[in-house]
Amino acid sequence: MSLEEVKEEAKTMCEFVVCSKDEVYGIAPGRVEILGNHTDYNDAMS
Amino acid sequence: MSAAINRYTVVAGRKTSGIAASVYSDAYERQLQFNVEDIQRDSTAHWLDYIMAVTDQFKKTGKDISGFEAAIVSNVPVGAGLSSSAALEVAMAKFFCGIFELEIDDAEVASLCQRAENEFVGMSCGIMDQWLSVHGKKNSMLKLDCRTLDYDVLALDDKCCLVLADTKAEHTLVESTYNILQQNCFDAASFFANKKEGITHLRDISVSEFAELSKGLDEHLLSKATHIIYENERVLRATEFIKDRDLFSLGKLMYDSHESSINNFGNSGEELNIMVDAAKTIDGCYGARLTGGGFAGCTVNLVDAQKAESFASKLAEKYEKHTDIKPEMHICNLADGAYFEKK
Repeated sequence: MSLEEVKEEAKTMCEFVVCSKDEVYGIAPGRVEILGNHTDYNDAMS
Repeated sequence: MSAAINRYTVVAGRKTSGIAASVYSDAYERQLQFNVEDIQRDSTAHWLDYIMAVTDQFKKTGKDISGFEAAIVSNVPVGAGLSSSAALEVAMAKFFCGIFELEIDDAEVASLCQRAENEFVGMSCGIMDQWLSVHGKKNSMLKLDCRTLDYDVLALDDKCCLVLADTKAEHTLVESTYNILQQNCFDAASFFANKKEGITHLRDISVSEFAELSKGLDEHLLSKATHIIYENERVLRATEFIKDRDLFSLGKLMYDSHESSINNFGNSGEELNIMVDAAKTIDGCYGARLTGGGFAGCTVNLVDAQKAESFASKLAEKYEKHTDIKPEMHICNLADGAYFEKK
């Protein structure tokens, strides 16, 4: 599912389920770490 | 050393008059309401906690927000160690910035969402997940100093890519054990603080002084501290390997990190280990390790870009043969961070 498809699905849900016209999209990605496991709360490098 | 990935949470909707919030979750196929001025937790819908948490933080920090209607759709796998919670919080915060016309800088968005998860959801997470979701850069890894929030953007060699392998294993230990591991780290830091002035966190201990300073430390805490202090060092070394495009050395650090999760930190799991061991035997893999909190969820694999499809297919086959669990594979692009769009 591409970002455009996710947005299209959100638009559809907004219009047909929430009964609202969508006016704004808030968009945020997931993330992955390749190193730096559990280091953030130790104030370290992540 | 992290990256935002091209898996997204999208919040679509609008501002309404009044103080009622109406939110639909596509994943849970539920529409629920709450009062923005008097937020009451709904024990039947944990997903709504994240929405309420961000709303609560916006109110607490004096942001002028009111009622809204929204639908949430996401292709970030939940419970896979890919920070679906942070993506939801950050998407919600960006949505608020858009509908209520608020100018909040990215650092504050990340910090606000972290506090939302700490204070309302009750998960004592660090800043990294929310920060990455906000600050991600296309085709790049980001090295973040979690104390100063200084960061480096490091272009990842386009000859490689990241393949995420979702073990689909049970994920029950993460939330219950996360806070215990965190407390272990804080207890170890307290031990070191009594030995040397200026130590507040495990970050303050260098690899070179670790052996001397750790004399007398409880064995259990010693293993946790070993993981964190060497993991910090691995991030620093990885910076040079990424700059030098030395993928074999970078991959070796990933294997070392996974070994440390097994032997020192105790946050790996049987399925994660099977997935990493299988990856090692497949052509084109430079390195593999668990990602996120651990115990289950995904492994991240640094793979020759030309061989990514065949790698993913072979890894899935080997894993399923060992476990009878069908994994989910994601060949990912590294993406830009969060934003909002207005129609």
